[in-house]
Amino acid sequence: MLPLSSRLGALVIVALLAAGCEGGQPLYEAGLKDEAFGKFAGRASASDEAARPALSAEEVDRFIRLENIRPEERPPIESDEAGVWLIADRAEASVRREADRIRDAELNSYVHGNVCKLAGAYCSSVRSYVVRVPTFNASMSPNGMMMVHTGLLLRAGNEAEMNAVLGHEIGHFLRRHSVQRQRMIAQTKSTLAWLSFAVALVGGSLNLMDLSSTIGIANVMAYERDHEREADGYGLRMLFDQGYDPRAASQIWSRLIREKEKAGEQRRFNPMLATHPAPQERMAVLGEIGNALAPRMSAMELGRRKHLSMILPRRHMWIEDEIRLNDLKHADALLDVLIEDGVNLGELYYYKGEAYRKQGSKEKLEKALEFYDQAIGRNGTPDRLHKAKGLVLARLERNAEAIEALEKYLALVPEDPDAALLRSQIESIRKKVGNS
Amino acid sequence: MPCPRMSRFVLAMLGCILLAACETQHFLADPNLDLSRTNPAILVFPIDATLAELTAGGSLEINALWTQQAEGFADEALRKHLLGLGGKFVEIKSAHFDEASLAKVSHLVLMHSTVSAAISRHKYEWSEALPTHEGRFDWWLGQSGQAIIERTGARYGLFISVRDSYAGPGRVMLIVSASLLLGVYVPGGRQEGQASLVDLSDGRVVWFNRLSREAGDLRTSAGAEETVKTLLTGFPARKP
Amino acid sequence: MSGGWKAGLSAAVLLVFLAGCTRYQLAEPRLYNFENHYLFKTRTAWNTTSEYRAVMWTKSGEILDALYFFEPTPNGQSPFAPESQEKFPPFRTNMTVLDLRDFLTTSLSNIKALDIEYQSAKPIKLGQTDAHRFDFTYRRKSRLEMRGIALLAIHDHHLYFVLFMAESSHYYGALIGEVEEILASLRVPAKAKS
Repeated sequence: MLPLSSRLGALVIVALLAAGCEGGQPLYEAGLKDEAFGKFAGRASASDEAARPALSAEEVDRFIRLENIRPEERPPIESDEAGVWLIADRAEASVRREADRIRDAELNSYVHGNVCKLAGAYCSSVRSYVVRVPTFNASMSPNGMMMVHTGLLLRAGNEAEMNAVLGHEIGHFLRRHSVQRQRMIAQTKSTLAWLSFAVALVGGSLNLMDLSSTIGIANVMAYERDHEREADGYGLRMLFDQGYDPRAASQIWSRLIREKEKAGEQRRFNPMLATHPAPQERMAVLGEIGNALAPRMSAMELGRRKHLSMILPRRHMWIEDEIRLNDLKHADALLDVLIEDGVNLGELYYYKGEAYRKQGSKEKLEKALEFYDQAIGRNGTPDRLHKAKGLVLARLERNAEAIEALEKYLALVPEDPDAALLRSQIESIRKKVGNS
Repeated sequence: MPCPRMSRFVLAMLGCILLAACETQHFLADPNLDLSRTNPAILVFPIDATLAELTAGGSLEINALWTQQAEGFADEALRKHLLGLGGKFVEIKSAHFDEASLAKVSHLVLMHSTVSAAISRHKYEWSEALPTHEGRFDWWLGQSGQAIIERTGARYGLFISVRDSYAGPGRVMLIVSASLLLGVYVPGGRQEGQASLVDLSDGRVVWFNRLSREAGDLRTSAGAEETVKTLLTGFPARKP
Repeated sequence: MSGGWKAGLSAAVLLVFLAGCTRYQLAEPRLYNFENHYLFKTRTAWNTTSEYRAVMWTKSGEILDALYFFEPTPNGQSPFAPESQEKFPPFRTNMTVLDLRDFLTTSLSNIKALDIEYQSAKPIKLGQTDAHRFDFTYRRKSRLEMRGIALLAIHDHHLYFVLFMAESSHYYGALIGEVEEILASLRVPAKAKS
């Protein structure tokens, strides 16, 4: 049984989808949002009832019943929204220059091609940038700049899973969540400022102020979680419209949850701090709706082959970035989930070895050797495995084996820029053996 | 940890606070530099302005219209001011750059923002002062400016940025109520600006000024003239 | 609040600050001996401050240039962070030269260095002690290009580590002469038996 909040969240998304699907026209273009969502706005907020005071009709108007942005629309320059866009435009100019932006044209066009497919008439309004960041994430700026982390591409098992997230981000853009959030925060802060004025006026205690700012923060967080739920609905809707398996949205959350569980990172959900609903809620709600939608589709695809053809030649770089975070539990869990997925296991076992090698204790080095041995003979095992293995053996003073591995590597890759260093390494091992 | 001697900078700072006259504080690499003697061409990089409304709760809401207008007003005011000093004015918009020299321009801009951050930290925050930099101003942006000299004929580059905020109606009401009913001071809008002049031939930052005050208004042309004049305090050009 | 009142308050605040200490001290040109771990001399003045497990020297502030002398790091620890902090890889006494380079790469990427590339790896001597020198470049997220030199020696079961990093277009070139002199004079004294 899902918790109450999740069921209400689900209700909103179902209602949203139903309204759109029956209309025959994609919801996110028709701007049916107001009718579909407005009705449920009160209930959406009720999903975080504990933290949120009731909204007045006027507030609902201001924060919830906001029209979707239209294709190629720019907000009028005198609006507060134009200010939000101005800052985003400047941030985008920086992002374009920054060193962690991936300039691989083929990969960017793969991602942007999918954005266009999902966004339809909004294709030219959304600009996607793949950035080299080893976390499962993507983000959307109010002006249509979408950042897609390599950590997301690495974890998505197919195009449908990736698109569930890209569609979610497009949802944030269409629903103008950034400006809504700015207004909400400004209003909360102003209310608190006046409240503290009133408290000071009657000589009230500070405890009362602490309590109200606590409520204020919880209120903003609950509001943001509703945005996430709304965006999840859009992601799902776009999968449905483009003929992708709608169960993929839940799938990617289940991958993430498995990874977090393996890494022992299960944190308790904190309504005061969480800007996003718990992954378990998202997986369950999206799964429930995805399962209900799937039978209504005559044909659906996952887009796995295309996705893998883009990801596999590049994923070694992204796995290396994850390993450089130097958190063994994290790397181990990520690689285990990828191993479950089962493609190019040789590469994955090699990297498990690399993650252990970094820790360098005798026990971890021995474990690294086990993984290297598991990699040998499987698909995708890189030649540099023998280099790594030779270095580990040298550190464990298994000298003869070390020399054998390093020589094998030099025979395979004689042009390695480290060849000279490796040869001197072999020499120094030989000297050591000779001396003893 | 040994405590260092009080630097001249701190004494100056203390002095001007006591006199309530330190809206700006500037540094010169060479106190004898006087641009009005040579009247060199000055390349003005696009003015970086951000204008915002301060809400009752202290949020800053960026106002795009004010910002756009302020950039126009400040540009105009700056042109007038520099021409008044006898300088020639080169705009980056009108200059023609090929790809290679454009890369030099972005490198110079990146160096400027990096070095400005170092200047702000080590010349304006007294606890971060560098002993070897005491009593001198010695900051460099590298050689990229030479490509700009070749393309534009300008000898100096001028960078201006301003962050300006104004109390909105809600904030004004809070300020007034708090001062009348509680006798408490609630801060209103602020103007923070930074201006720097760079010798493009060797990359040296020859003049740097920082402005910080609870006054100034870039929303009108007259206000922009006043702000530009204040921001160019100590600019190394003395009209005869 | 009137202007005079505010000025008075600011002056008072400033005086309180004056009672505290600044972060950087002057390092005069002379011979230095850091707790008998590093021995070197400089002919010019630097600014110096203590960071976690390191003494940092700089000419124009660490945004633009920094020369670190790390305290000797024992097996299983990182010179960059306390033990509890996981993101920096531990040093191990049995590291080969390639392991040391890998250790350097992972450590630098966790202080936000991108696109790290090595120009050279050379064996050197710090007095009697064998050491490795790596010359490298990297980019900051802003795309600012940086250049650096790392000297690493495994000595007496500890990692001796000196690291110089500076902005590449001006500051590296302006300082490299002085830095090379310092590095050339650098000695890791043999441990005095206690």
